[in-house]
Amino acid sequence: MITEETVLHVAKLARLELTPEETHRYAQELSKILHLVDELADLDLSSSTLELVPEHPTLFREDKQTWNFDRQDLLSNTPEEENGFFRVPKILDEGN
Amino acid sequence: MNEQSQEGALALHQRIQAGELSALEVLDNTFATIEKLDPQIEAFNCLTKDFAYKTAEEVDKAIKAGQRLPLLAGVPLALKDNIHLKGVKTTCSSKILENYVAPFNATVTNKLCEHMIPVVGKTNLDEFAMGSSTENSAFRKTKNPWDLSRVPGGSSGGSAAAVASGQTFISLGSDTGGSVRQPAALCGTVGLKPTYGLVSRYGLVAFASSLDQISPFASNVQDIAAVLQVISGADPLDSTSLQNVPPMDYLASLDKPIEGLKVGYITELLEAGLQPDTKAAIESAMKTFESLGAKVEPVSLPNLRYAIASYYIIATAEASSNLARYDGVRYGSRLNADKDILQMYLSTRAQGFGDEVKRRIMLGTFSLSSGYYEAYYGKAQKVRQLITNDFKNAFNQFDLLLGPTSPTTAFKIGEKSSDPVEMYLSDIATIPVNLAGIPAISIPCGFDQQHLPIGLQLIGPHLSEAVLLQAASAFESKTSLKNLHPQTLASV
Repeated sequence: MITEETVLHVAKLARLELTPEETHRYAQELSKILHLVDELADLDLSSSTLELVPEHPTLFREDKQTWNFDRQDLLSNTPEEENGFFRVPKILDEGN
Repeated sequence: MNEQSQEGALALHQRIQAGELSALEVLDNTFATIEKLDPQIEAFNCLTKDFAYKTAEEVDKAIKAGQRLPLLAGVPLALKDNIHLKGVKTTCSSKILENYVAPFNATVTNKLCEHMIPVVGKTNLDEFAMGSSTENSAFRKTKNPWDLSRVPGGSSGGSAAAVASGQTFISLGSDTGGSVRQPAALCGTVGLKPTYGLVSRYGLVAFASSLDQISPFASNVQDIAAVLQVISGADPLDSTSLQNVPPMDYLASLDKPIEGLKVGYITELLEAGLQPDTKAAIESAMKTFESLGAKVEPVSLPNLRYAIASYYIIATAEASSNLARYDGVRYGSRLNADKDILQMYLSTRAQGFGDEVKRRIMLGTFSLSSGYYEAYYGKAQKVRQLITNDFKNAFNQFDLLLGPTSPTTAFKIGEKSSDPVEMYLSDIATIPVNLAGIPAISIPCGFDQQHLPIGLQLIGPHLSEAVLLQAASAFESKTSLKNLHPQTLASV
């Protein structure tokens, strides 16, 4: 059972602002989805080991620059740019 | 409907190579068809005419110069709107990326360019590929070409509907839990999910990185093999792409007989929840395989019943992490930036994401959060291993496995959209394949009483694409269920 309090906590972690209607609804819906997931709780997994590294190992490329992006192309999608930087609201209050 | 679509992509390509048709004529015809049909189907988010005509001109120039064309050159293709084409919007059918212009090409897009394949447009999807009906798009509801009151499936519903309605010959989608195979089944087309890592994911907007795979649609198995030939291969820009796969010719083995092939039908997928017509069609397909000389026997995968639970924990956990990047800083929309940065994050994400995306971010964040991680995410990973082991055991006895792609044929628009759990349950047959990272194909195997197409799913072990395609091709030849397009659209 997911309470509205849990929903608000998770929403804060996920940086999602929820309306009271959404908070109420997600509490119900997430409870229902987790009920579906609760069947895993009955499983004895003590002997199950993880071998998620598959037969094919990950190969890493060499640490050298091999391709280029156009700086202006990348900046063209930003909501606010200043002198080639991403501009964001102030993070620290003055005096803090 | 486009008359050229009756013959398929490869046949069209051969006619272009032979000089019987110019790539420009083909493209004119394609855009005329799209203009006629798409106002009803709504498969496309945008058209990329300039890019397509530029490519077609290259093709015709190469022909005039007497050059041999690369595979599928000149054949129009539709691209799911979560795959980058440089200079064109990649919206993921989300408001948060409504104005995002791709600053680079996906690796598959570069391969399409090398092969002179004209990309004619970007297709609609469930927002960020989250959904099974394409109803979660922020922009439009794509219709199933066989019945306009029904969904095309999802999340790659636009790409499936584009091919099924004969607007394009081939298309690309992405398959995270069935997002290509299920719409292929519901639209009467062929859809192949390759082995995880066979096709580069570079330039595909990430949903669940350990499950996502770019996957093709076509109207027949031969065309699917051709597209796979074009898009597969190692890529240094995707660290999960498989590096040591020997070069394959997927077209070469298509005509080989399948006598003696051992096919296991998955008993768990033929039990509860299957529509009677679908069940009958799958059983009939089993007989067809027997008549082709295959040995068809039952096989049980006991942990399959936990697949949906495991998937919706793992996929949403990865999504909550992948979608953290949409915060209004570097790209996408930005709201309430005049207050402080936290309020900017909160407002931007609240307004930019749709309901299902928020639900999944919430679920994923929850299962990764302190106090719940081991009970949910940790457990789901272990179950993923059990399911993978089930498949491994089955492939000790069988060459391929068989089952339905979807428990039902296309459902009505709005029928399941109010209940997320019911929508999730419709993915039972496709999800296990992504969890195990193995390949599977959906091919048409009949129609239900309402003349809606039914999909048959064939599943193979790691890198068994050649055998999968060979078996699918044998089935297709025997049943003549290929190049299916609803005739009702012809009169539009």
